[in-house]
Amino acid sequence: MSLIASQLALKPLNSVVDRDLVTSALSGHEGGFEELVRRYQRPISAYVYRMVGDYDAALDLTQEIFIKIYGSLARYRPEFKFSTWIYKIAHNCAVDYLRRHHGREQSLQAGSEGDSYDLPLESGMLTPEQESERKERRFEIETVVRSLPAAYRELIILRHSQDLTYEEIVEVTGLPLGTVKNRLFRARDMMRQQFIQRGITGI
Amino acid sequence: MDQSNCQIDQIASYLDDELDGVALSQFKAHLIECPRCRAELADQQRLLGTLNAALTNKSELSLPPNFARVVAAHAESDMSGMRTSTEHRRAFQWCAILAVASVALLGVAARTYLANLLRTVARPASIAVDLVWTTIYDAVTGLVVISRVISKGFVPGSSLVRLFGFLLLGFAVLVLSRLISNYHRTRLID
Repeated sequence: MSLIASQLALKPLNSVVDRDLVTSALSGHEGGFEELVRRYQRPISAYVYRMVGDYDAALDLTQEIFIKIYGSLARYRPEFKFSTWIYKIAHNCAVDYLRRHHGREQSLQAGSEGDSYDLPLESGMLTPEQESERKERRFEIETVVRSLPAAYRELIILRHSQDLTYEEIVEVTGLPLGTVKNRLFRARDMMRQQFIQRGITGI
Repeated sequence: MDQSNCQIDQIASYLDDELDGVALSQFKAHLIECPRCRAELADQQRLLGTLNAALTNKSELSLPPNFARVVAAHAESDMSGMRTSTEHRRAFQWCAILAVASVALLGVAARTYLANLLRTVARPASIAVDLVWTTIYDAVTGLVVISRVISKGFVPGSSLVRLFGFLLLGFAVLVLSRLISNYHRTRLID
């Protein structure tokens, strides 16, 4: 076992930085990779869910992504941010999935209000009225996001749901910076038009 | 107000904290002078606020219990998840060692059976091979002896006489075949 891995064995895993957890997982330390999964399972599953629009498929794809991440850990270079690196793998898996399920992607693009899009979300500490209102507003916004073409939708998710910077989005998607800016601008504009068409006010 | 300097896409960059240095100063200066950009900024700000509030990961997807443990276990047990060439080489070595050990154990267990089987098959096989070999050897030896005896009886010592003998033999064969064909023709006419 390497020096870092032996030092990690003495620390609680939730206080260890990603890079050291990668080293720990690579040296076969039990729990190292599990802690990485625990840290990123929620953002990755949320990203995947918004990309594919199906809860079960999102769980399967999230698992597939983490298996790929585990298989590629040796290729991870510490000079890059770990979160950006795993989003890149998640992006590739999501793009492959959408390519394989082209029909589903078409239906997502043409998604109507009547479609079920009830997010299986964890509820926070809100009153029932606030919760209901928040759910309704979220439903509207998620429907609009879902109606965007995948190329635009992904950028909106990466920026607003995953809070990635432009530079990180460039790394994840492999698009030029100008294209990222342009698509984000157009996506927001499309969304604003849709909010107006749907009579959603206050946005 | 100079609207020709308006760069609407700069508003998004500004709101996303992606402008800095000179670009940021120029944009701020332009914003003071341009009501159109200020209105657009306010619109986009509201939209971004709504999007951030609605899509933020604070409201996360509900996951099955022990999802991380299950996923990590699947990843770690997946053979295709072996990460380095050293791991592949080590796995191959272990497979080879296990294969050799399995064969050895099977060999010990089946030794008596295999030995009896080999003994039963080997003896008749060796007798049959011996018989065939002796037959072929004897036949070839016999043919050689017969041909030598015949050639000694028919072929005299001098080469001229030997040539004459061969010619005579050839002539005799021709005449004989002619006589035989004549005989058959005569019988057909009769």
